[in-house]
Amino acid sequence: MLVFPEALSKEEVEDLNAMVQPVEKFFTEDLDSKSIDANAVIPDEVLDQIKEFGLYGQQIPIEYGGLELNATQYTRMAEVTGLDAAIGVTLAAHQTIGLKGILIAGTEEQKAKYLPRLATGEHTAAFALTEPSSGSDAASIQTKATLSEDGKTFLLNGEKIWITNGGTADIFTVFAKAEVTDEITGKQEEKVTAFIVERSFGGITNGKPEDKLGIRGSNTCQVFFDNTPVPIENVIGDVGGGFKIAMSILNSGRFSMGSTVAGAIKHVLRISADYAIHRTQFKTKLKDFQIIKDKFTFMAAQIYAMESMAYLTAATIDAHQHADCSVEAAIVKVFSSEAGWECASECLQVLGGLGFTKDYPHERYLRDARICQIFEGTNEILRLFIALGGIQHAGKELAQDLTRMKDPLNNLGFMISKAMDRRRRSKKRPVLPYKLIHEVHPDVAPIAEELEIRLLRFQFTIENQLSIYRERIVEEQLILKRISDVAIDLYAMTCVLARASRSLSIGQKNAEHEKLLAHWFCRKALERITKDLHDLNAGPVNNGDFDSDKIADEIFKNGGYACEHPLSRNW
Amino acid sequence: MASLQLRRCLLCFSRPASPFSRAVHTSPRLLHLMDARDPNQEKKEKKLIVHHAKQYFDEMAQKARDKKTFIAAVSKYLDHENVYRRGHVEFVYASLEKMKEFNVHRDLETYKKILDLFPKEKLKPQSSWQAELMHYPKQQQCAIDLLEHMEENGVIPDDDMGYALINIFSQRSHVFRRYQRMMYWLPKFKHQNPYPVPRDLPNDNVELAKLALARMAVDLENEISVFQTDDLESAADKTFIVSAQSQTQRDLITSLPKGQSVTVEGGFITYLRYKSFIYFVLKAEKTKKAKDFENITGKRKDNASTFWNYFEDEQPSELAIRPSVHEQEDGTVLAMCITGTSSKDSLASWLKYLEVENPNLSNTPVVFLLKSPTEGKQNYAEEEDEEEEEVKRLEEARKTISDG
Repeated sequence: MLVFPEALSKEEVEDLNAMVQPVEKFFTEDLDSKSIDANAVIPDEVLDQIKEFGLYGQQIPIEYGGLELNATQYTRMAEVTGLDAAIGVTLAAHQTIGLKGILIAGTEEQKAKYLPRLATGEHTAAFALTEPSSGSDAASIQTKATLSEDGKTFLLNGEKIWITNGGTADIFTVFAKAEVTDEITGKQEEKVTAFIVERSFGGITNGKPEDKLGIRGSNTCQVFFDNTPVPIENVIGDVGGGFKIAMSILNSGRFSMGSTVAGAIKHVLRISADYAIHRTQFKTKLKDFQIIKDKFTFMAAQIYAMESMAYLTAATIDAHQHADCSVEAAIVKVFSSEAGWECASECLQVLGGLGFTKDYPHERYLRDARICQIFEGTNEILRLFIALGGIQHAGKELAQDLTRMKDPLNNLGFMISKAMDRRRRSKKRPVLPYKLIHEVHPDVAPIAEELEIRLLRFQFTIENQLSIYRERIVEEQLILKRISDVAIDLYAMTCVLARASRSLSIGQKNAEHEKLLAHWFCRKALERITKDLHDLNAGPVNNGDFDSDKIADEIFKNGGYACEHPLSRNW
Repeated sequence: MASLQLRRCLLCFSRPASPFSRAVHTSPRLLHLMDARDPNQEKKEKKLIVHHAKQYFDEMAQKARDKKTFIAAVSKYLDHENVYRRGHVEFVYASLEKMKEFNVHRDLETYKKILDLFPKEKLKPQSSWQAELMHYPKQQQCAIDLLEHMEENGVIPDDDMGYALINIFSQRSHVFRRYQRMMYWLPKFKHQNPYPVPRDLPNDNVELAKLALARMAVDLENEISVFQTDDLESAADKTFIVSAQSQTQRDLITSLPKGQSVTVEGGFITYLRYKSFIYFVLKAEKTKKAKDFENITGKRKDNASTFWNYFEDEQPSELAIRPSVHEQEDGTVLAMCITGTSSKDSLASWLKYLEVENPNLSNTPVVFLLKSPTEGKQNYAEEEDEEEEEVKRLEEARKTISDG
């Protein structure tokens, strides 16, 4: 059960490293990231070099001219391309979301027509979903696609905002609302549809590139569609089936953020560690101060967890035909984005005042790290997604139990067995059904036991919350947030344990170090899990949610901070 | 003894409002003990109050009725009675009556000046018995009535007043106990109103109307606009219109079903302390969204598997969208207004102005459901009546005293 899969054979790993090595050299030695950030533009020579590496077609099948990397290989490559965040984001917008629609839902003709030139980089792709009035709420977009009289062309009208590669892209995956007649009811309604739109179709204009805090090299701008004609052959999937395509595109690209952030933080950690080794204060090297050491331990643990989660998720995707790892990918994204921001901040902190200047790259990494919590689904939305996606399954199973619980006298046998079951589970040392301690190396077995205890407690807590709130749980966002925090920590622990167990078992170099890291990370994670589960079971009054609601209402009623100034007098 | 203590306790709490009853109810039993020889003491005191009022305040009132003249009247008394402060208790009562006329009844400094009239070291008790038995009861009761007057007008005393009271009556007095209670409760009550009215209301009708509408509006996005009918040629009345509407309400108007009419319901009264306003509401029928919400939440399936995961489906299958705060059970509130004349013509002008921001209004039929009298009624008639009544009362009182 707690297995860290080896998705690639020995030869594949060697080939992959050979492919990655020159790219890494280019990013670390030949690239001037500072000027890209200062000038807010990626020079054409840099982009040409990247096209030569074949990085524009990483996931495109070989028959269309791509590298056909599977998820694990792509994750490995993302570690390197993330070293310059602007280039990383440009590539991600091109292939992870821009052309993914054609890859996963396109017809053979569409693939043959567009993928070859996208793979070589002759054409760049972009993903156009967000509008001024619909960011997180993708179903509320207002761009319209009206079918022409002859039924062969759609006319697109609308505006999109925050489109990466919006100014440079030649192929857009655009989402617009088209009228569909419902087969069952016969009603006409407008549903989201995905289109492949070429810039050469006409009617497409750009706004000016946005002046951003971070990833300044990437091109982000508004895109306006004015009666853009789109042939009906360019509809991806079915007319009216665009929402599901959008969701699956977004869900499939998220997990690589784990390795991207890990790669970037490893790089900047090296610089900070070097500084800590050489710098002396109070006649002692920085590296000998406990607080500094704790910072580095924290960062190493976060990187270890990020890598483990990213690669385990990638391996799971590779191992199954139609893997639905959307919840796991969301977990990886949330964890890595927040850990990336904290680690970049700590790396800068180690350098002190020097970290604050532009002479060192830390401030650029910090600014670039901030966007991770916002794009590809804001962390708030993804927490709800994780929680709801997980609870849905629990809810379906519970539905029958809940109806039975409403009528206890007629279901006595069920009530008694349920009560006994609950009593068994609510003890501090419950009976553990999965016996995870036998699944891992004995050095990390105690953590596995703690993990299983928390898992059962989690199950118990979710059943409680569902039986209290039923379907209104959708509105209880603070409960969902805590549930997703616990899920994130549990998944992180799982991946970390699996990897540490494997390293110890096969005798990796520095396996003992990994064991210590795993212990350190899991101890903190267990604390967080215990606290969150305790808060959930304590209820909204005891854990502060009830008060938080009232306080926020008063702040909005006052239009700002609502307390009187500390110096004000009453009489 | 017990009844005396009870009487003392009662004396400390608030007293009835009539200005004359105060002078009389000063522990009548004790008064009789003190002035048992003179059966006309009550009448003499009343006469003195009226005399003080006439001599000092009415004269000043002819020049101007403001704080400056009030303080001047008080200073004039001090000039006359520099040494003995004769009749200072009656003068305090007279000044308390006159404060409203001079519009200083909410000014703390004036109260302090009045309190200053009491002689300073004379009224202090010399033993604990004296302190317990309300030393100088008439003067203490007068001071208590002064504090009562302050409380009724919503004026919170400050530290200086406390020190003054200690100086005059000592800390063991009944007045100071009253002051202490006031200082505990009044600051706490000051901010208890969840819909507070500003302390100093503006005089301008338009500003007042804006305040009144802002208080009634629940939506945080509410916007208040002021129109003058002078800009509209077809309006017969020349007046102001203050209108309150939020973006949510504009969206509701835009999405009104075709052919549905809206009503202008009117003649409702709202108050800002003592000033009343007549406001009108533009209403429509209960929206479909509100009806759906009621139906669906009413017969909720109440199990855990039917919630809408908004990442998997485009539209909710069963859940209803929560209606906005304007969509009520008895109808949908689309806008509110207060006009200067509250006439039907001003309402018609209001609707014309609303059509600018709500083009859909020009297509909808409007029905007027006006209940209270709206033609020609003025907004501030109540306050005028109050003043007239007070003048009448004073005249009558003066007549009875001069007769008696």
